[in-house]
Amino acid sequence: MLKRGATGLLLIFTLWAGGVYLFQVPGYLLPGPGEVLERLVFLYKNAQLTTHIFVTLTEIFWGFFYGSLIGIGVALVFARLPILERIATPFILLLQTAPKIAIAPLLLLWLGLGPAPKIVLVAVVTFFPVMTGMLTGLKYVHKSYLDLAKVLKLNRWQRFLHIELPSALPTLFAGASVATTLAITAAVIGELMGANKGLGYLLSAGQENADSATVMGMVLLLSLIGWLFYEIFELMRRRMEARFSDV
Amino acid sequence: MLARIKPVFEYGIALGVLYFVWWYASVPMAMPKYLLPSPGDTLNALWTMALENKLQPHLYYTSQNIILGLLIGSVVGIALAYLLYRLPRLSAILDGPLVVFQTAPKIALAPLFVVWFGLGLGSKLILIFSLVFFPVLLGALAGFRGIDSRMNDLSKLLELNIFEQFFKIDFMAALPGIFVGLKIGAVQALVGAILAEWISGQQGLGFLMTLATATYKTPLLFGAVLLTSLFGIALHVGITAIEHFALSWKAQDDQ
Amino acid sequence: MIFQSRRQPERLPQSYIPTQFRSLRQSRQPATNLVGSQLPMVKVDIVIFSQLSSLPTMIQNTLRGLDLITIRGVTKTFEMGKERVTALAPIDQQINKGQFVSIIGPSGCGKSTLLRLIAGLDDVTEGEIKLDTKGVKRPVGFVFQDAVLLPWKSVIDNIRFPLDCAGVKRAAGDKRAQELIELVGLKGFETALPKQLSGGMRQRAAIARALADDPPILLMDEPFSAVDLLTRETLNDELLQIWQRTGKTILLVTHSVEEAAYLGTQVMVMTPRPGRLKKTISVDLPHPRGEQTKLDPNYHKLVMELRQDMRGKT
Repeated sequence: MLKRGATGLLLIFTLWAGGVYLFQVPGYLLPGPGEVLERLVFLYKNAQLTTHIFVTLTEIFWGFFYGSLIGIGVALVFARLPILERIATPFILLLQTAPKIAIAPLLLLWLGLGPAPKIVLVAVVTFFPVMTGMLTGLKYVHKSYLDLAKVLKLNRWQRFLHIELPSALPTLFAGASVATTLAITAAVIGELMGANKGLGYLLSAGQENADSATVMGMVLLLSLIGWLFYEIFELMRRRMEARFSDV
Repeated sequence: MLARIKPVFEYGIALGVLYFVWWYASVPMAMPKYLLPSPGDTLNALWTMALENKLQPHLYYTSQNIILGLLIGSVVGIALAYLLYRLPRLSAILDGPLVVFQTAPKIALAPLFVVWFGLGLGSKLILIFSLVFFPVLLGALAGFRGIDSRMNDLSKLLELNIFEQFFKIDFMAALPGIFVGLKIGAVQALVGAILAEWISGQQGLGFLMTLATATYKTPLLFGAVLLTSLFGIALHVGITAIEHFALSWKAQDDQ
Repeated sequence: MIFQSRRQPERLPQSYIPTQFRSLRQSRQPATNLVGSQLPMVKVDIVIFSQLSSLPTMIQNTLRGLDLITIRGVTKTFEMGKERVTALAPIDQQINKGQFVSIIGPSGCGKSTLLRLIAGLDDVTEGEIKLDTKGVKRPVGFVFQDAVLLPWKSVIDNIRFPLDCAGVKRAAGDKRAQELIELVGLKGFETALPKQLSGGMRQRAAIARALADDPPILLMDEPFSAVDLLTRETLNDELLQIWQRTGKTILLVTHSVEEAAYLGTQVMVMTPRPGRLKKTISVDLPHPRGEQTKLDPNYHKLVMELRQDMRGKT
């Protein structure tokens, strides 16, 4: 995956640079890679690009953190109390189906222009896949392992720690790696809607000034972040799968 | 019969409870109106607009964009998936770029499309298209690659040409995968349409939201968010219904 | 009835006999040598084609005139990465019209490969396969190990599918499909979907589909290996009836020596690594076959010999 991605990236860059050079595309439409890189360096020197990156990353991190925490917590409660899950299922499915991005304007209204609404939005979109992944793993522990726990007379805590949690890890990370893409999208949308810092803010500023080089630069940075996050979680998921799902 | 009514019943209750919570927070708990208007105010705002025929054009505009984008994105996505499936050499070249595009936050392309294609319908459709295209492509590709190789033997034995093979066997066999992609794509299409209208435009549900925010009409903002959510749910229910109908031949256990 | 003869052909010059049969004859040893002394000597009713000339002339001519499938020097190699794997060493065989040929051999002996080559699903590496089926648009019907029915079509639509693809009118196609449904015993299940059928019924539908446009040759690749034993026996009997009623030439690949002996008029025994044809045995059990066949001592002898052939090294 990593190798394929890297060669893919290389191919895209080559095509991009070659296309711009060959067809003499005007810079205001499609700036070449060199031009975009120059713009990024310019932004780094004059517009505190690192701060913007840091702001976006922080939003993603905390949103992801809270979303996962709540998702895992809810999954644990549901696994312990199936009746509660039964009651909550229609609500969860209803909210899961609704486009969560649509509440962005409401969050902005309630929480202002700072990082708070973005963190909440990221947490909301992270919650569902993480919760589903964790719950699936907890619910479908291989039957013979549960029998083993019974034979060994493990208590609840031991059974959770040694049997249920390890078997839930692969699906949990599968959910989390789905959530990474959603989380970055949510952060960008939150910042596009209204912000004074962050990559999304630079993105909308670039658009308003019809500054393609800045827009392309931001798209590039965000793609890079998205790809990196995805790869990290995919790597962890594969590790978990190799280690914990032998049945 | 009971099994069919039960989910409707459950979702009905769920919607009712959510409505009650909303009402309880806004009326008895008396949250400030500019932060949380009551359900009555919200519905009233929508109703007034609908009576003046001002709501329908927005709804129509957004749904038209979504459906067009979904259609074009699906057709192109399925076509390219079939090409990649039939031409392993092409897919060896394109797999890398596809991985990169797949993980990239495509929503970030929205401003770029506005720069390229202006503020009109074009940039919106292209954004929706780019959001629908990838999930459908990947779903269809998984569907095509999962086809039993003996189905290909069958096509060969019956001497089907490539079009017959596609329409009579491969497309049908890949439908389950295509629907997986389509369901993801539909949600993405809605998000894309709304976002495009936020960024630029004078029409649509997304525009209604920005308009309401800018003019401090909170009930209208709530109404637009509510409509968008219901639209998303309706879209999902619709596609699931079509899927249920189109895949009724599938054995229950592997659906 | 017994054409057991090890005489050299005299009436025909040596050169007449195709080389493959010569080599075949040379490789064949008396049963006693193979079995050793622990087992009673098995005397089997077999004819090897190299001994065609020992048959009455009339039968010889009839058989020669009716060669339906001619396999000449056919080999098949697969490229696996950088390695070349020989799936099929040079093979020669002639199969006559109306025969029921069972092909047995252990896994990896190339029996399925041979069938796929005859069907034109894969291309031969060397040699040629000739089908004497002039004027027939689609000469072979093929039955896979699993039914491979189109899951979104009903039984009758699946059976009619080859006709639809060939542009046959709906009414004519329905009539033909209905006949076939009756032939394979699926009456009453016309509108059922594949998921509603048992494994055995699906396989019946698959046989009907293979027969839909009336191909002279029916190729079957372990068609009954996925159904339970009881159903398998029923299907075997039904297949024999279908064969007798339709007069098709059937090639059936199987793992089961009992099935091969019970069904076949000839049995091709193949050996693995690389896949090659060890011998062809003509089965002389009387038709119609049924329960009494399974009690026939000759049947048991044949099964025994086949089993020895499968085990013995080349």
